Amino acid sequence: MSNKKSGQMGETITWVVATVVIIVILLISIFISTSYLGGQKTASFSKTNDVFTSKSFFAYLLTGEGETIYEQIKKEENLNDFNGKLAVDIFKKFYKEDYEDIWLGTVLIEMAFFEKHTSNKFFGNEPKKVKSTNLGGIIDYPSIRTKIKLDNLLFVQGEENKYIELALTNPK
Amino acid sequence: MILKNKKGDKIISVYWFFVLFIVTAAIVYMVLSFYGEPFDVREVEADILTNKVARCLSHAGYLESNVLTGNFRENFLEECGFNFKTENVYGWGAMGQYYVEINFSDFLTKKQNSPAIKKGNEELKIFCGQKGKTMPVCIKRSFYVLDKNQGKKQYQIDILSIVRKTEKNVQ
Repeated sequence: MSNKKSGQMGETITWVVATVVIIVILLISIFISTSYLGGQKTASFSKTNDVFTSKSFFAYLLTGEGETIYEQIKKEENLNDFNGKLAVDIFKKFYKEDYEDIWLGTVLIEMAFFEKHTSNKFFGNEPKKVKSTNLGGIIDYPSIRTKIKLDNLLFVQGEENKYIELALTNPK
Repeated sequence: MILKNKKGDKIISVYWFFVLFIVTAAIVYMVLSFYGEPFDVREVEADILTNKVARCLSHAGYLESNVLTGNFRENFLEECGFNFKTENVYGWGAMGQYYVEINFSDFLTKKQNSPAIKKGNEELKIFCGQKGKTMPVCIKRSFYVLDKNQGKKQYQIDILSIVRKTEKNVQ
Protein backbone atom coordinates (compact mmCIF):
# COMPACT_ATOMS: atom_id res chain seq x y z
CA MET A 1 0.00 0.00 0.00
CA SER A 2 2.78 2.43 0.87
CA ASN A 3 4.57 1.45 -2.35
CA LYS A 4 1.51 2.48 -4.36
CA LYS A 5 1.39 5.80 -2.57
CA SER A 6 5.12 6.43 -3.19
CA GLY A 7 4.65 5.58 -6.83
CA GLN A 8 1.73 7.91 -7.15
CA MET A 9 3.58 10.70 -5.43
CA GLY A 10 6.61 10.20 -7.63
CA GLU A 11 4.52 10.34 -10.75
CA THR A 12 2.65 13.42 -9.56
CA ILE A 13 5.86 15.26 -8.80
CA THR A 14 7.14 14.35 -12.27
CA TRP A 15 4.06 15.89 -13.86
CA VAL A 16 4.27 19.00 -11.72
CA VAL A 17 7.94 19.54 -12.56
CA ALA A 18 7.23 18.92 -16.26
CA THR A 19 4.45 21.50 -16.18
CA VAL A 20 6.69 24.06 -14.50
CA VAL A 21 9.45 23.44 -17.06
CA ILE A 22 7.01 23.86 -19.95
CA ILE A 23 5.66 27.11 -18.52
CA VAL A 24 9.16 28.51 -17.91
CA ILE A 25 10.24 27.68 -21.49
CA LEU A 26 7.10 29.32 -22.85
CA LEU A 27 7.65 32.45 -20.76
CA ILE A 28 11.25 32.75 -21.99
CA SER A 29 10.08 32.38 -25.61
CA ILE A 30 7.37 34.99 -25.13
CA PHE A 31 9.86 37.36 -23.53
CA ILE A 32 12.33 36.97 -26.41
CA SER A 33 9.68 37.37 -29.08
CA THR A 34 8.19 40.54 -27.58
CA SER A 35 11.40 42.24 -26.45
CA TYR A 36 13.85 41.48 -29.24
CA LEU A 37 11.94 40.27 -32.25
CA GLY A 38 8.82 42.33 -31.76
CA GLY A 39 8.75 46.10 -31.52
CA GLN A 40 9.22 48.51 -34.39
CA LYS A 41 10.44 46.94 -37.61
CA THR A 42 12.19 49.54 -39.70
CA ALA A 43 12.77 48.87 -43.36
CA SER A 44 16.22 49.97 -44.40
CA PHE A 45 18.51 49.44 -47.35
CA SER A 46 22.24 49.38 -47.95
CA LYS A 47 23.47 52.35 -49.91
CA THR A 48 25.13 51.56 -53.22
CA ASN A 49 24.96 55.05 -54.62
CA ASP A 50 24.34 58.57 -53.36
CA VAL A 51 22.49 61.05 -55.57
CA PHE A 52 23.58 64.06 -53.54
CA THR A 53 27.30 63.36 -53.50
CA SER A 54 27.25 62.46 -57.20
CA LYS A 55 25.57 65.75 -58.08
CA SER A 56 27.98 67.68 -55.89
CA PHE A 57 30.93 65.86 -57.46
CA PHE A 58 29.94 66.68 -61.02
CA ALA A 59 29.24 70.31 -60.15
CA TYR A 60 32.59 70.50 -58.34
CA LEU A 61 34.48 69.27 -61.40
CA LEU A 62 32.68 71.78 -63.64
CA THR A 63 33.47 74.71 -61.34
CA GLY A 64 35.76 77.39 -62.69
CA GLU A 65 35.49 80.17 -65.24
CA GLY A 66 37.62 79.35 -68.25
CA GLU A 67 39.53 76.38 -66.88
CA THR A 68 37.37 73.97 -64.91
CA ILE A 69 38.56 72.06 -61.86
CA TYR A 70 38.49 68.89 -63.94
CA GLU A 71 41.00 70.47 -66.36
CA GLN A 72 43.15 71.76 -63.49
CA ILE A 73 43.39 68.32 -61.90
CA LYS A 74 44.04 66.69 -65.26
CA LYS A 75 46.93 69.11 -65.88
CA GLU A 76 48.44 69.09 -62.38
CA GLU A 77 47.60 65.42 -61.59
CA ASN A 78 46.64 66.34 -58.03
CA LEU A 79 44.58 68.85 -56.03
CA ASN A 80 45.86 72.40 -55.61
CA ASP A 81 45.03 74.95 -52.92
CA PHE A 82 41.96 76.29 -54.70
CA ASN A 83 40.23 73.08 -55.73
CA GLY A 84 41.42 71.19 -52.65
CA LYS A 85 39.91 73.71 -50.27
CA LEU A 86 36.71 73.82 -52.29
CA ALA A 87 36.48 70.02 -52.13
CA VAL A 88 36.85 70.12 -48.35
CA ASP A 89 34.20 72.84 -48.09
CA ILE A 90 31.78 70.77 -50.13
CA PHE A 91 32.32 67.15 -49.21
CA LYS A 92 33.60 67.23 -45.67
CA LYS A 93 31.13 69.85 -44.54
CA PHE A 94 28.04 68.55 -46.30
CA TYR A 95 28.52 64.82 -45.80
CA LYS A 96 30.67 64.27 -42.70
CA GLU A 97 27.59 63.11 -40.75
CA ASP A 98 26.70 60.59 -43.45
CA TYR A 99 30.02 58.77 -43.88
CA GLU A 100 32.83 57.67 -41.63
CA ASP A 101 35.53 58.67 -44.13
CA ILE A 102 35.55 60.86 -47.25
CA TRP A 103 38.45 60.93 -49.67
CA LEU A 104 38.90 62.81 -52.93
CA GLY A 105 41.96 62.77 -55.12
CA THR A 106 43.64 61.19 -58.09
CA VAL A 107 44.23 57.50 -58.54
CA LEU A 108 46.24 55.48 -61.06
CA ILE A 109 44.81 52.15 -62.13
CA GLU A 110 46.91 49.80 -64.19
CA MET A 111 45.10 46.53 -63.81
CA ALA A 112 41.70 45.65 -62.38
CA PHE A 113 42.75 45.44 -58.72
CA PHE A 114 45.90 47.52 -58.72
CA GLU A 115 45.20 51.07 -57.60
CA LYS A 116 47.70 53.70 -56.56
CA HIS A 117 46.15 56.68 -54.79
CA THR A 118 48.02 59.98 -54.88
CA SER A 119 48.29 61.53 -51.45
CA ASN A 120 47.06 65.10 -50.92
CA LYS A 121 47.07 67.39 -47.89
CA PHE A 122 43.30 67.82 -47.91
CA PHE A 123 42.10 64.23 -47.69
CA GLY A 124 45.15 62.17 -46.77
CA ASN A 125 46.94 59.25 -48.37
CA GLU A 126 44.08 57.08 -49.52
CA PRO A 127 40.53 56.13 -48.60
CA LYS A 128 39.94 53.79 -45.67
CA LYS A 129 39.57 50.36 -47.19
CA VAL A 130 39.56 47.69 -44.55
CA LYS A 131 38.70 47.26 -40.92
CA SER A 132 39.57 44.64 -38.35
CA THR A 133 36.94 42.16 -37.27
CA ASN A 134 36.43 40.75 -33.80
CA LEU A 135 37.91 37.45 -34.95
CA GLY A 136 41.21 39.06 -35.94
CA GLY A 137 40.63 39.18 -39.69
CA ILE A 138 40.05 42.15 -41.97
CA ILE A 139 37.12 42.96 -44.19
CA ASP A 140 36.44 45.69 -46.70
CA TYR A 141 34.56 48.74 -45.57
CA PRO A 142 31.34 49.24 -47.49
CA SER A 143 31.97 52.22 -49.72
CA ILE A 144 30.59 54.22 -52.58
CA ARG A 145 33.20 55.20 -55.14
CA THR A 146 32.82 57.49 -58.09
CA LYS A 147 35.68 57.67 -60.58
CA ILE A 148 36.01 59.90 -63.62
CA LYS A 149 38.74 59.32 -66.14
CA LEU A 150 41.31 62.06 -66.60
CA ASP A 151 43.05 60.94 -69.74
CA ASN A 152 41.90 58.74 -72.62
CA LEU A 153 38.25 57.89 -72.64
CA LEU A 154 38.76 54.15 -72.54
CA PHE A 155 40.54 52.02 -69.97
CA VAL A 156 43.78 50.76 -71.47
CA GLN A 157 45.01 47.49 -70.04
CA GLY A 158 48.68 47.50 -69.08
CA GLU A 159 49.00 51.27 -68.97
CA GLU A 160 48.50 53.71 -66.14
CA ASN A 161 44.93 55.00 -66.35
CA LYS A 162 44.36 58.21 -64.41
CA TYR A 163 41.14 58.96 -62.55
CA ILE A 164 39.75 61.51 -60.17
CA GLU A 165 37.96 59.60 -57.44
CA LEU A 166 35.49 60.43 -54.70
CA ALA A 167 35.41 57.64 -52.12
CA LEU A 168 32.73 57.61 -49.42
CA THR A 169 33.41 54.96 -46.82
CA ASN A 170 31.12 53.28 -44.33
CA PRO A 171 27.74 55.00 -44.63
CA LYS A 172 26.31 55.74 -41.18
CA MET B 1 -6.32 -9.10 -12.25
CA ILE B 2 -5.48 -5.92 -13.91
CA LEU B 3 -6.98 -2.91 -12.34
CA LYS B 4 -7.46 0.12 -14.52
CA ASN B 5 -7.76 3.45 -12.88
CA LYS B 6 -10.24 5.08 -15.24
CA LYS B 7 -10.46 8.14 -13.06
CA GLY B 8 -6.72 8.62 -13.36
CA ASP B 9 -6.89 8.40 -17.15
CA LYS B 10 -9.58 11.08 -17.26
CA ILE B 11 -7.52 13.43 -15.09
CA ILE B 12 -4.45 12.89 -17.29
CA SER B 13 -6.49 13.69 -20.43
CA VAL B 14 -7.78 16.93 -18.93
CA TYR B 15 -4.26 17.85 -17.94
CA TRP B 16 -2.93 17.20 -21.44
CA PHE B 17 -5.60 19.40 -23.00
CA PHE B 18 -4.72 22.10 -20.50
CA VAL B 19 -1.02 21.96 -21.43
CA LEU B 20 -1.90 21.91 -25.13
CA PHE B 21 -4.06 24.97 -24.67
CA ILE B 22 -1.29 26.86 -22.85
CA VAL B 23 1.31 26.00 -25.49
CA THR B 24 -1.05 26.96 -28.34
CA ALA B 25 -1.94 30.24 -26.67
CA ALA B 26 1.74 31.07 -26.17
CA ILE B 27 2.59 30.32 -29.81
CA VAL B 28 -0.34 32.40 -31.09
CA TYR B 29 0.70 35.28 -28.85
CA MET B 30 4.33 35.15 -30.05
CA VAL B 31 3.30 35.06 -33.71
CA LEU B 32 0.85 37.93 -33.29
CA SER B 33 3.36 40.05 -31.39
CA PHE B 34 5.94 39.64 -34.18
CA TYR B 35 3.83 39.75 -37.32
CA GLY B 36 1.31 42.15 -35.85
CA GLU B 37 3.87 44.99 -35.95
CA PRO B 38 3.93 46.78 -39.30
CA PHE B 39 7.14 47.56 -41.15
CA ASP B 40 8.15 51.21 -40.87
CA VAL B 41 9.03 52.30 -44.39
CA ARG B 42 8.92 56.05 -43.80
CA GLU B 43 12.69 56.47 -43.80
CA VAL B 44 12.92 54.77 -47.18
CA GLU B 45 10.00 56.84 -48.44
CA ALA B 46 11.58 60.12 -47.25
CA ASP B 47 14.90 59.12 -48.84
CA ILE B 48 13.26 58.42 -52.18
CA LEU B 49 11.38 61.72 -51.99
CA THR B 50 14.59 63.65 -51.24
CA ASN B 51 16.45 61.97 -54.11
CA LYS B 52 13.63 62.67 -56.53
CA VAL B 53 13.56 66.35 -55.56
CA ALA B 54 17.33 66.60 -56.12
CA ARG B 55 17.04 64.94 -59.53
CA CYS B 56 14.30 67.39 -60.50
CA LEU B 57 16.32 70.45 -59.52
CA SER B 58 19.58 69.74 -61.27
CA HIS B 59 21.11 67.75 -64.06
CA ALA B 60 24.77 67.06 -64.93
CA GLY B 61 26.06 69.48 -62.29
CA TYR B 62 23.92 72.44 -63.33
CA LEU B 63 20.68 73.84 -61.94
CA GLU B 64 17.72 73.39 -64.28
CA SER B 65 17.02 76.70 -65.99
CA ASN B 66 13.50 77.26 -64.62
CA VAL B 67 14.13 76.31 -60.99
CA LEU B 68 14.62 79.83 -59.66
CA THR B 69 11.51 81.22 -61.40
CA GLY B 70 8.25 82.02 -59.61
CA ASN B 71 6.33 79.66 -61.89
CA PHE B 72 8.45 76.70 -60.82
CA ARG B 73 8.03 77.62 -57.16
CA GLU B 74 4.24 77.84 -57.49
CA ASN B 75 3.86 74.65 -59.50
CA PHE B 76 6.68 72.67 -57.93
CA LEU B 77 4.63 69.52 -57.36
CA GLU B 78 3.43 69.40 -60.97
CA GLU B 79 6.82 70.35 -62.44
CA CYS B 80 8.56 67.52 -60.58
CA GLY B 81 5.73 65.01 -60.85
CA PHE B 82 4.84 64.73 -57.16
CA ASN B 83 1.47 63.86 -55.71
CA PHE B 84 1.08 64.45 -51.98
CA LYS B 85 -2.48 63.13 -51.83
CA THR B 86 -3.06 60.18 -49.52
CA GLU B 87 -5.94 57.81 -48.71
CA ASN B 88 -8.67 59.44 -46.64
CA VAL B 89 -8.09 57.32 -43.54
CA TYR B 90 -7.11 58.20 -39.98
CA GLY B 91 -7.94 61.84 -40.77
CA TRP B 92 -5.18 62.08 -43.40
CA GLY B 93 -7.47 63.91 -45.79
CA ALA B 94 -7.46 66.93 -43.49
CA MET B 95 -3.84 66.68 -42.37
CA GLY B 96 -1.15 66.41 -45.03
CA GLN B 97 1.34 63.60 -44.50
CA TYR B 98 4.24 65.03 -46.49
CA TYR B 99 6.33 68.18 -46.46
CA VAL B 100 9.17 69.33 -48.67
CA GLU B 101 11.23 72.48 -48.21
CA ILE B 102 14.00 73.59 -50.56
CA ASN B 103 16.37 76.40 -49.68
CA PHE B 104 18.74 78.01 -52.18
CA SER B 105 21.76 79.85 -50.81
CA ASP B 106 24.91 81.30 -52.27
CA PHE B 107 27.67 78.77 -51.61
CA LEU B 108 30.32 81.43 -50.97
CA THR B 109 28.36 83.91 -48.84
CA LYS B 110 25.89 81.33 -47.36
CA LYS B 111 23.13 83.91 -47.82
CA GLN B 112 19.75 82.82 -49.06
CA ASN B 113 19.19 84.71 -52.28
CA SER B 114 16.03 83.03 -53.55
CA PRO B 115 12.78 82.37 -51.74
CA ALA B 116 12.44 78.86 -50.42
CA ILE B 117 10.07 76.35 -51.99
CA LYS B 118 7.68 74.91 -49.39
CA LYS B 119 5.04 72.34 -50.25
CA GLY B 120 2.89 70.09 -48.10
CA ASN B 121 1.98 70.29 -44.42
CA GLU B 122 4.41 72.78 -42.86
CA GLU B 123 3.22 71.95 -39.34
CA LEU B 124 5.18 68.70 -39.52
CA LYS B 125 8.40 70.71 -39.31
CA ILE B 126 8.08 71.28 -35.57
CA PHE B 127 8.45 67.55 -34.95
CA CYS B 128 11.87 67.29 -36.58
CA GLY B 129 14.56 66.63 -34.02
CA GLN B 130 12.12 65.13 -31.51
CA LYS B 131 12.65 61.50 -30.61
CA GLY B 132 9.91 58.92 -30.45
CA LYS B 133 8.57 56.27 -32.76
CA THR B 134 5.35 58.21 -33.40
CA MET B 135 7.24 61.28 -34.66
CA PRO B 136 7.36 62.00 -38.40
CA VAL B 137 10.57 61.02 -40.16
CA CYS B 138 12.67 63.98 -41.32
CA ILE B 139 15.59 63.84 -43.73
CA LYS B 140 17.72 66.89 -44.49
CA ARG B 141 20.43 66.76 -47.14
CA SER B 142 22.41 69.29 -49.12
CA PHE B 143 24.27 69.43 -52.40
CA TYR B 144 26.44 71.79 -54.41
CA VAL B 145 25.35 72.96 -57.85
CA LEU B 146 26.20 75.60 -60.47
CA ASP B 147 23.85 77.95 -62.28
CA LYS B 148 24.81 78.17 -65.94
CA ASN B 149 22.47 81.14 -66.45
CA GLN B 150 24.39 83.23 -63.94
CA GLY B 151 27.92 82.50 -65.12
CA LYS B 152 28.35 79.31 -63.11
CA LYS B 153 27.27 80.89 -59.87
CA GLN B 154 27.79 78.44 -57.02
CA TYR B 155 24.76 77.39 -55.01
CA GLN B 156 24.12 75.27 -51.95
CA ILE B 157 20.72 73.58 -52.05
CA ASP B 158 19.24 72.22 -48.82
CA ILE B 159 16.33 69.82 -49.08
CA LEU B 160 14.17 68.88 -46.10
CA SER B 161 11.71 66.02 -46.59
CA ILE B 162 9.22 64.90 -43.96
CA VAL B 163 6.94 61.85 -44.02
CA ARG B 164 4.35 61.29 -41.29
CA LYS B 165 1.92 58.36 -41.95
CA THR B 166 2.41 57.18 -38.38
CA GLU B 167 -0.79 55.16 -38.15
CA LYS B 168 0.22 52.74 -40.89
CA ASN B 169 3.88 52.39 -40.01
CA VAL B 170 3.96 52.32 -36.23
CA GLN B 171 1.73 50.57 -33.69
